[in-house]
Amino acid sequence: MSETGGLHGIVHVVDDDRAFRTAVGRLLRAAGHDPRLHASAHEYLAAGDTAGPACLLLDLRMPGSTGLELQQLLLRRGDTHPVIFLSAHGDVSTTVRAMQDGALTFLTKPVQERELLDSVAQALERDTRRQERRAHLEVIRRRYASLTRRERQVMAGVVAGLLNKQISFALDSAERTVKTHRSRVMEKMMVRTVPDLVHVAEELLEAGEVLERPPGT
Amino acid sequence: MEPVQDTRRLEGRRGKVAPALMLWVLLLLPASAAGADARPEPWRVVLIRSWDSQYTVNVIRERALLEAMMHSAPRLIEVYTEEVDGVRFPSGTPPEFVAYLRAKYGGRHTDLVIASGNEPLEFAARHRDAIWPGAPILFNGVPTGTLPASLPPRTTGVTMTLDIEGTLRLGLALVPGARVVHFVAGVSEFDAMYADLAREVMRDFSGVEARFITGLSRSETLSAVERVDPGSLVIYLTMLRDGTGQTAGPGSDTVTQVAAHSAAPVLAASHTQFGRGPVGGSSARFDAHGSAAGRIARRLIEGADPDLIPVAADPEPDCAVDWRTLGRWRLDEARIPAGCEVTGRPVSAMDTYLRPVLALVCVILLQAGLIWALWAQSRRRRAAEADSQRRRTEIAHVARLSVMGVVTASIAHEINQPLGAILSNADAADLMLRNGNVDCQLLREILADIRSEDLRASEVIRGLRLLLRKREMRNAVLDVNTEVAEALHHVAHDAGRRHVRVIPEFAVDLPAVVGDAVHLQQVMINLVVNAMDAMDATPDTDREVRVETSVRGRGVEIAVADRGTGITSEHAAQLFDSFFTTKPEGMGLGLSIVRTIVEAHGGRVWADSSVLRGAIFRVWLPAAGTA
Repeated sequence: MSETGGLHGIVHVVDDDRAFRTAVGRLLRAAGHDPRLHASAHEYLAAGDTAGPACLLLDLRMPGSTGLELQQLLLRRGDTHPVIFLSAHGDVSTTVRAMQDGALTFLTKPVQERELLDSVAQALERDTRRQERRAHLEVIRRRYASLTRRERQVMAGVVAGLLNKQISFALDSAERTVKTHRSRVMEKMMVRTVPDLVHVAEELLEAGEVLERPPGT
Repeated sequence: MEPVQDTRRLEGRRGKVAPALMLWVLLLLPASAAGADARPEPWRVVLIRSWDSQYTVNVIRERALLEAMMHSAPRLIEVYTEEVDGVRFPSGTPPEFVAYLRAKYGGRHTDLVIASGNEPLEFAARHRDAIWPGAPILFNGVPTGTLPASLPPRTTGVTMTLDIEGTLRLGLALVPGARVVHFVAGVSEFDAMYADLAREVMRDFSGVEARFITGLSRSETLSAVERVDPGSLVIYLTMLRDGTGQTAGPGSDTVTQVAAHSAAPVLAASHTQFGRGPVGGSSARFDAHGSAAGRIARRLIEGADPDLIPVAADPEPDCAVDWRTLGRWRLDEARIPAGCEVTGRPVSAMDTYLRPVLALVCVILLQAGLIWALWAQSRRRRAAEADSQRRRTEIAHVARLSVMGVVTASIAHEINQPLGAILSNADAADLMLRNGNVDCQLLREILADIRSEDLRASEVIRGLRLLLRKREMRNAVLDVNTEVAEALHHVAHDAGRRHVRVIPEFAVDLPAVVGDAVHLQQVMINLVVNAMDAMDATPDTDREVRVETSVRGRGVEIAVADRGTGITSEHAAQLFDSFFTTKPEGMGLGLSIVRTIVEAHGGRVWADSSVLRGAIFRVWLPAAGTA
């Protein structure tokens, strides 16, 4: 249906200029996206629309709240949809600040179709990845949560590279019992090899999960 | 008579009073006219003068006498004057004169005979009963001590004090060591009498020898006084006739001549001689003498009994010193006795004109105050004008800069906004067409929006053109130094605030340029402000902007040098670009405006960083007539 191919998604257009908002909305719709138009930052926030994949097209200079202020507010809220800035007049310092604060890209009006659609596609792709990653993390977090305390201790020992014997000594339990826990861990965490388990543990740590300490440390 | 006189005097007054007065006069006139019929005989007074009636002493005395006698007299007083001149007619009065007077006054009642002087008194005493029978005699001008032992009946008068003693005492006060006094006198009867009075005085005066210079001619007298001992005294009496028989008329300068020639201080005992050469003397006033006689005369004609009126003497004589003569004989001013009137002293302006001087000082002070106040006011006004002018300029400067900045910034926004909408609309339509997904309704909406956004953009441009048209260039022939100085004046305040010394170094005889004064000033202001900005980190003592004008080629070069951070080579290329700035608050418009204006004037502007320190911005403008 679309030459742009790839990903389609929700694009929140936040711009006080109705004509521009509408025009960009038409273009995005023609390109297969789902544009949602907001006249102000306040309107966008009030909508509470967090479905994804989505991205934001923010005008830098708007009455009430500037795009930069909205971006920072969203960052504080943990709303991490990618942001594309659009401005009729940009100077170096605002651009730099916007980029430092995580803006995906910075476009100036009038914006070329290709430039806009590419940026949107990129943003949506990033948002999709972000969503997928978030879903994946949710799964492994749920798996880790299903482990018993003893199983988490054994998992920590395996991830730390300890032998079954060392783990049984540290936990003051029979080596056979440790083996049973270990196979249950692999089963619950749905991994086949020890390196896979180590990778999952790393992902959990990166996502901020607090893991059980390895025994004996 | 009286009311008429009053009317004449009062007529000069205000017109409002005059009618009332006229009425008053008219009411009185019939009474006066009626009174004229019953009017009493006028009082008749015969005045006998001695010798020259124009002699000063006589004139003064007689005027005072007549005034006092006639003062507010209820009747007319007729005065007949006769002269008995013993000085010029020493042989005495002939019998025919007496016969003539008998015939003259016969059958006419005479109320009073006034005898002024010794000879008239003598004449009146002898001939009164024959000529003016029954009339009382009033004498005056007769020196004390010369009055006959027995006066005729019905005679009284005032004796004249010739204060020889007082005059001598003044002389001795001024010259304490004087042991000789020379009396200068003539040979007329009066002169002799006067000299006799002096002898009389000197008889009782021990310790001072009296010498008389008399019987000499006028010139011999002058030679005589020239030879007197400078430590002695000279008292001039009178010289109505000298040794050669020559008489002195009124205004004779004998006393002046004597004073001029005398080796010793000259004094005189007559008030009329004071101020004419002598140091001074003691004398009664002749006007007072005349007035005293006049008052008695009035009483006599009104019927007072002369035998009941005692002979009066002059009031106390006055001592007087002519200050101007003190130096002539080296007399000490401090020796002038207390109570002695000093005349001729060059009184200080303060003494004489104290009040006028005070008034003048007040006026001057007031004027000075007024002038000061006006000056202060005008200064304040000028300061206020300068202040407001400066503020206007500052505001205009800031306004123009910010207008330019805001305009440039808002052009981008105002125009890019509709352009963005147009482009996106067109792109959307294009995409729809490419996708074969054609929604005619949507396409119509898109086209309508494109049209309205296009109009919006052109509206922005039209408004911008209007804004820029407000300040068109007004070209005139300009003196670069004047315009640069004016611009420096505008930034002076800012420079002071920022502790920057702005040092102008103007070349003389610059060719004129053609341009817009305000724009050229704007160029200078921007360059100087730029220079000052560059020195924000420079120590206060080093902050200096040098503004130099010079002739360069066929034009004028203006150089603005600072001691700031200088220009790095990476910035050099962008210096004059819009929105290029290295300053945190800068808009990056100052130098771009400079370039725009300078190029509009056919000139060039460039930065010269080939200096050890700071930067130099140079502006070159073509001379008038070459561009």
